[in-house]
Amino acid sequence: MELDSLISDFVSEALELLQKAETRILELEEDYNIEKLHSIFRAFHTIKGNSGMFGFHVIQELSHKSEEILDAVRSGHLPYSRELADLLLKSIDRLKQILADIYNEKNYLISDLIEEITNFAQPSHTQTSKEVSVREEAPNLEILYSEQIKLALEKKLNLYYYLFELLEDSNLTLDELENKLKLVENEVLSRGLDYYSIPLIYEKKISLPYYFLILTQENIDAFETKLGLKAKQKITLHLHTQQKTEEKTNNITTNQTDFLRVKIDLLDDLINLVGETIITRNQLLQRAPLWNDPEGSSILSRMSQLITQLHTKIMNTRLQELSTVYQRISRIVRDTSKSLGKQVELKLEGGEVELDKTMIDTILDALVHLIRNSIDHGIETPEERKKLGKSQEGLISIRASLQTGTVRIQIEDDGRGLDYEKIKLSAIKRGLLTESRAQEISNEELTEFIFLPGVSTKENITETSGRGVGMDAVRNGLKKIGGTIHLTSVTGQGLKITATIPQTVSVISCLLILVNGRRFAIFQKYIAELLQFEEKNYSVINGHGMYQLRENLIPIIHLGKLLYGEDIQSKQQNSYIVIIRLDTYYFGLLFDEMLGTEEIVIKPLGEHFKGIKLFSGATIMGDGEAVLILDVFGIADYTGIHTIEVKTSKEIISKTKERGKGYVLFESSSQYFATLSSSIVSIERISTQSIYHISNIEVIEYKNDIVPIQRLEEIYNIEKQPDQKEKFVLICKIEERYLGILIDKVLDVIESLQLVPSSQHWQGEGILGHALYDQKPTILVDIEAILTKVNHTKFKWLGKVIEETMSLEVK
Amino acid sequence: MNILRKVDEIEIFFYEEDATNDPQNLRSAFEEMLEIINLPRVRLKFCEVTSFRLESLALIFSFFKTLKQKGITSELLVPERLEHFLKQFHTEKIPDLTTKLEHTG
Amino acid sequence: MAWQSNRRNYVIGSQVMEDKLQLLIWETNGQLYAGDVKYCLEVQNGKKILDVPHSKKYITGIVNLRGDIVTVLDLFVLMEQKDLPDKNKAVIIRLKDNDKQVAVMADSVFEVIELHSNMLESAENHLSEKEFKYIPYIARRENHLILIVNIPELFVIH
Repeated sequence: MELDSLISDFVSEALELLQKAETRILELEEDYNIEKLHSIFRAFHTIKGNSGMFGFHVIQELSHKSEEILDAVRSGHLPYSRELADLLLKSIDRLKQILADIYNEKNYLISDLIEEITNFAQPSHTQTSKEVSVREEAPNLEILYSEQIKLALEKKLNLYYYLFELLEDSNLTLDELENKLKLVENEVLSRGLDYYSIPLIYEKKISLPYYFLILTQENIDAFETKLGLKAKQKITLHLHTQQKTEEKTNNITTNQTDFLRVKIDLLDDLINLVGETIITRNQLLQRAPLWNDPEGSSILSRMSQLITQLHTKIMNTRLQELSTVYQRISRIVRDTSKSLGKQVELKLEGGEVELDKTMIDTILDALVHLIRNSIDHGIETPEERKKLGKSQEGLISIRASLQTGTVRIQIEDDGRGLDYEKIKLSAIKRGLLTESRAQEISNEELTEFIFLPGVSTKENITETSGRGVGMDAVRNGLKKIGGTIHLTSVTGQGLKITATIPQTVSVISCLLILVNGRRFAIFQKYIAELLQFEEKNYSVINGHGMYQLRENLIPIIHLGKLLYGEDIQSKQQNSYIVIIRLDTYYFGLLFDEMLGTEEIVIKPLGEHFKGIKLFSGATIMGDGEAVLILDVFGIADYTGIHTIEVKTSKEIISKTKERGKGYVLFESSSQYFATLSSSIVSIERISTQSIYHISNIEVIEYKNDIVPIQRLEEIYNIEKQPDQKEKFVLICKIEERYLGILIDKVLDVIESLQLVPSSQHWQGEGILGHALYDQKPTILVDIEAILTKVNHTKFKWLGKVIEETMSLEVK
Repeated sequence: MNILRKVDEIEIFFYEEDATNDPQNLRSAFEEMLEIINLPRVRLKFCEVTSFRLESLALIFSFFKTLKQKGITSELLVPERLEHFLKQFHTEKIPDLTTKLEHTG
Repeated sequence: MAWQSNRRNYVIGSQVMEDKLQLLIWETNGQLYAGDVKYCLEVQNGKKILDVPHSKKYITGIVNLRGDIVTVLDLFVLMEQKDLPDKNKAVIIRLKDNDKQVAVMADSVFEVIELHSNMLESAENHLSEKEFKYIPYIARRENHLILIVNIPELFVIH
C-alpha cells in the first residue's frame, strides 16, 4: 500500500535525523557550537512537522517539546548542560522506540518525559516561551509539500508558498478576499490559515496569517501584483528555470543528491547472483582446457576478469563506514562510564574505513563487549587512578586501518591490564592448566585462556560483564566472518586488543583436500605449510599423535579418524599434512589427497548443524556438488589441541651442556639408548668370542688390560636377545680403571637431543631422561654413574681376582 | 465570556461583546484563563454571535494554539451561518482542533 | 491435534486444513506418502547428497538445490523405522515453511491429487507413536493406502 511505503520512508528518515542529532548532542558536550545546536533543533522540528502530517501526534508532541527546550537554549534562556543533554537523549531514545513500533504509536505514553522536560526548565520558562516566535522558523515546507513539488516538476511550473497577514489591511473582509482569489483561482493549489505562524497568546501579537500554495508560470512578484495583497513571506519551493534557492538548504541532511537509497534486499539478490556467476565461471574454467580453442579460452579469461571486478564492485556497494559503529560506541562509553562511576575519554580514529555491512553488525557487537569490559574491568575508578599516579580520566582509543583487503582495529586502554596470576589460578582451578606447566607458561600463551568460555578473573558478575562467556563469543563472532583477535597487556598499564577482519566476505581462497573419499575445504588464510607425510617423523606421545617438523614437535589430528572414525593404521602411504597456524599455536591435519586451491563462495549450513563445531559452512563446487568447509578453530576446540603440553623448542639439559657436546646413540636388545659422548673414552668393536667370563662377570681385553663389561639389559631388566657375532663396547674410565658397557650396535652420534615427557615405569638407575630418535623411544643414560655403582658392587672383588690371576701368570 | 467547568472539559461561552470589543481585552481574558484551565478539553461556543472582528477570531486561534501546547484539545462551536466563513480558514488542517457547527440561531 | 466431529476442522501442525486438499504423492520403499502441496517447492532428480560427519542420525546430509545448501532429513529415521531409503538413488523433494527449508528423499514422485478432508482417517491406531507424530492421517484411494505426512513437524529442530 502506498501509505505504508510513505510511513516507512518517514520512519527511516526520522531515525536518520535522530541518529545525527544524537551524535551532535554528544559532540556539543565537548565543544559547544551554535551551529550544531541549530541542527539538533531542526531535526526535532522536521520530525515534528512530518509526524503531524501522518497524524502521529505522540511523536509530534515529544518532538515539539524537545524542540521547545532547544529553542530556549538558542535564545539564551537556558544554558546547555549535561542534564539537558541527558534529557534530550532520553527523548531521542523514546522517539526511536516509538518509531520502531510505528503502527502502535498512539499507545505510547510520553507524559513522563513531557513532565520531566517541562520541569527541567525553570518555572519562568513559560514566560520565556513567549519570546519564541514560531513564525521565524518556517515549517519544513519541502517535505510538507513534496507531492506538489513533484507536480511542479512535472508540469514545469513554479511553486510558491505565499504568506500574508489578513489583519494588515483593516479594510479587507473575507468576502473581498474571496473576490480577489477568484482572479487567481486556477493557480492556487491550497490555502488557509497558516497554523504554524499563529502567535501564542503570550506573544501579545494579534495575527491571522493566511497562506496560499501557488503553482504558476509566472514569477512570484508578478503574482503578488495580480493578487493585490502584500505578502509577508514568499518562499520558493520549486523554480522551473533556475537552480534551487538558498531557502531550500534549510535542510539538515547534506549530500542528498550524491547518494541513492537502495533496498538491502536488492543488494543481497545482486550478491547472490554474482556468487552464482562465480560458481558458473569456475565450472567453465574447469572445462576450458578440454576445448582446445585458444581464442575461446582468451575470451573466457577476459570474462573471468570482468566477473572478478564485478564481484569486487558489488561487494563494495555493501561497504559502510566504521563511523556508524563509532557513533554507537560514543554513546555506550558515555552511558557505561556514567553508570560505573568511571571517567573515560574516548579517542576514535579511522572512521572512514569501510566494511561490508554484515560485518559491521558483528564488529559492533564485538566492540561493544570489549569496550564494556574495558570500562568495567580495565579502567580504574578516578580515586584509584589518582593513587596510582595516573590521570583521573581513563583513556580508551580505537584505531582502525585498512591494509590490502584486511581491516585492522586496535582498541587500547590505559587501565589495569591483565592480571596474569589470576588467569593462571582460574585456569588451574578449571583443570585447563597443570601446576608445572603454569610455572613455565609465558604471558602470551596465558592470554589464550581468556578466550576459553568460563574463564573470568572477576569475582562477582556485574551487569555489564564478568560472566566469563564474553571473550569466546567475541572471538567466535569474529571467526565466523574470517577475522581474528589478539591481546597483549602490561599489568598495571593497560590492555591492547587487535582484531583483524577481511573487508568483504563471501568469496574466500581455500585449499581442497580429500578425506575418506570426500572433499573438504580449508581457508587458505590459516595454512602455514603443506607437507607430504613421512612415517618416520610420526610418533605417539602420551596418546597424542605428534609430528616432527624441523626442530618442533607438532600435534597432529588425523582427519579421517576425527570425521569418520577411521583407524590410523588403515591409512594409505601417500598422505599429506597441512600445518595450521592459529594466533599463537600450530597443529597439523592429516589427510589423504591434495586437490588444489580454489576460490569459493561460502554458504551457511543451517539450523540443523548449529552444534557442530567442526564445519564453518559449505560451498558448491563447479560440478554442482556440495562440499563442507572445515573450521580449524572448531577442530582445535573440539580436540583440545591447544592444551597439549609440547616442548616447542630445542631442549637440552643444562647439566649435560656443561660437560661436553654430543650424544652417542646405541642399541641393546632392540632398546635405544643415548649417552654423553664425553663419558666415553673409546668405542671398541669386538667379536662375541672374545668375551671371557670370570665367574659371572664378563670381561674383555683392552689395551693389555682386563676390562669388565656390563650389559644394560641386566640393569633395566630388558629381555636379552641372542648375541650377534659382533658387538660393541663403550669404554669408560672410572676411578682410575677402565670399565665398559656392552652394546649391540652404535646408531648415531648426534649433537643435541630433545627430551620428551617421560612415563613412570622407566625411572631407574642412571636414567637422565627420555627422548625420541627415529621415532623410537630412547633412554638417556648416564653410563658413568652406572659403571661407578657397579664398580663398587659387582666388580668390587674382581680387582683382587685379577691381580691374583695376573700375578699367577707373570710367574 | 463565561466558563462552565465540567468533569473533564471546560466550556467557554463566547458572546457578541467578546467578539466585537477591544481585542486587547480579549487577549488579557484569554491569558488569565490559561492560568486556570487544567482539564484536557476546552470547548468554545459562539452564543448569539452575529458579527465579529477578525482580530477576535485571530485571538481565538492563538488561544487554541497555546492550549495545544499545554496538551489541551479544543473544540470550536459556531452557528451554521458562519460555516462558510470558517471554511475559508481550513480549520480542519489545524491539529487537535475540532470545529463543529451548531444548528442554532 | 484437534478435530471436532461436526465441523471437520483438521489440524495438521498448527494449520487448519481446508476441506479440499491438494497433495503431492510420492513413494518410498513401496509405500505411498502425501504432503500438502503448499509446502512443496520442487522435486529434483539425480542430486548427490553429502553426508555431514558428526551430524544427527536423522540428517541424511546436505544437497545443492539451485545454489542453496539444503538439509536433507530422513523421515524414516525420525519415525524410528528400520528400512531406510537408499540415499544415492533418491529423488529429492524440497519443502519450505515460510523462510525455513528442508528436503526429504523419495524413490519416485507421482502427481498432485485432490482429496477431500472427509476422506482422511486418523492414523493413531495404525501407527506407532513415533510414526504418528509425522503421519497423523491416512487415506485410501483406489485400493492404495496413502500416509499423509505432517510437513510442518519436519521443520521442528530437536
